[in-house]
Amino acid sequence: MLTRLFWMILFSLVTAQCVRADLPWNGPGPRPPRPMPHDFPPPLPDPVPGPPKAAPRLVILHDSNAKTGELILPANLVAGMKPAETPRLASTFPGAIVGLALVGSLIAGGLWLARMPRAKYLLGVMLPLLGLAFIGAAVQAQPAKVEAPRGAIEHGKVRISRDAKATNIRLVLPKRNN
Amino acid sequence: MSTTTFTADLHTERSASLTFGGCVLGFVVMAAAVAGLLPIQFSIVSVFLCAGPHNWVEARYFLSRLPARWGRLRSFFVLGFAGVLVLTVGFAGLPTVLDFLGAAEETWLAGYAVWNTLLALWIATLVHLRSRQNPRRDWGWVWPVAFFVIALAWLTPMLWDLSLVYLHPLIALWILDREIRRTRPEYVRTYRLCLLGVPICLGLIWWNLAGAPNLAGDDLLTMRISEHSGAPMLAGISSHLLVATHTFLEAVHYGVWLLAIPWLGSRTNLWNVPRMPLGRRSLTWTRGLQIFLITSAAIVVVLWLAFLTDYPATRNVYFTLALVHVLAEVPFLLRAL
Repeated sequence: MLTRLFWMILFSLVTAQCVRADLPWNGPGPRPPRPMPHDFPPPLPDPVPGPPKAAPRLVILHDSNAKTGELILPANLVAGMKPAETPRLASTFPGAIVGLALVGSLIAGGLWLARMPRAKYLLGVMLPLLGLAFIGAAVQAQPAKVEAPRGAIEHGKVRISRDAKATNIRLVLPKRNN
Repeated sequence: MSTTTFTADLHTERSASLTFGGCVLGFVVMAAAVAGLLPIQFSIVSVFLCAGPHNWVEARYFLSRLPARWGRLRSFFVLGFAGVLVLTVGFAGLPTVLDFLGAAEETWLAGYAVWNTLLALWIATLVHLRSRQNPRRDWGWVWPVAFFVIALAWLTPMLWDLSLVYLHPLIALWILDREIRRTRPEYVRTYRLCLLGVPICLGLIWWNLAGAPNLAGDDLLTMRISEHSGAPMLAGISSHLLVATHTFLEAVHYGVWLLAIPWLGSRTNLWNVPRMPLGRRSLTWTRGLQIFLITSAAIVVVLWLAFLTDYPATRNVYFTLALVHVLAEVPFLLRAL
């Protein structure tokens, strides 16, 4: 009976950590603000060196033939932009290994303790630990952010393309019947 | 008459024990003082003089402790030696491979974390195997600890590596403890009391050098010695303090291998190759061991010559290859427990 109770507590301790699995921040408490340098983000290099040009304007058009929205950017505006970097494995890999190793440590520790002849005394230690784990998980969990309602203009996909001859940014939206 | 003899023996034993303790403490205090005052100079001289010979004594000690026939210990020793070989080659080759691949910083850290993981698993497996040999021990804690250590190794791979640099000298003190217990048990208590001198000296070094400016000198050797003691990683701590701490611990570990173990060896087979278990197998084994020890002594001389020719480069190569003796201590220490 005690062994089963021990295993249940151990299982609960492991699963308690899953409460926080979807959180972007694994540190204690809410994520502290990151100190940013004054010039962050750094200005993008001028894609086309030369005399300063007038800032492109945003023109919104409605097209009855269009089925999805399309954002057309002037080619000279996007020339200096690099394609988005593919997500690197290394940035998330260590965190996953750390998590796996800690879970392995917990399970191996549980197996070792369960084999001990006086495991029942450990229940007195495990029960408060379980409580602390749940409290910790609850305190560290950040509440889901509900965004303020806003007037939706368009739903669905937006195709982004560039036009070598364009001078303004054009947002082409499908024309609504109503 | 017998009572008088017993009292005299007791007095002699106590006196010898006090002499032993005085020597140990004197060495520790002297090493701490010199390391604190002249860390770079002491590091250069001690590595030059002691690096090769202490490896030679270690090799000799390990050979004297290796059983003639492994029997049920085969898996333990095979895993032990294979681990020493693979981990050393991996450690030496890792920078070259990563550099060749043009790896990013994260990949470098991941590479070292993988190496640290393998090291932790290797040690844990050896501990597990050892616990199943006589005398059997309940060392089930090793797996939770190993996984926890792996987590730390992935969190901060470079700090984990640095901790090995500082912890390695302390392993020598543990081996010496086992050796004293085996050969001169009457000194165990004195020795363990003397061990308190190490943390006290460390505390004094830290207290004195906590506010010390970083070590002067922008030459390659000073920078390399500071780097080896972790100065770039622990930027908030005085490099003088770090180098002094590392040099002190290294000096203590050299003292163990070059003074204490050879002295204790007078009561064991350390200095008698034919009496070593391997040497007793056959005359061929005896001759083989003798040739190995003569060859390794010649390598020590070559190392000295290399140090005289190009000290910084030799020091770099030495500290990479010296991992062999660091790792080899693990299975032999476990066998001694």
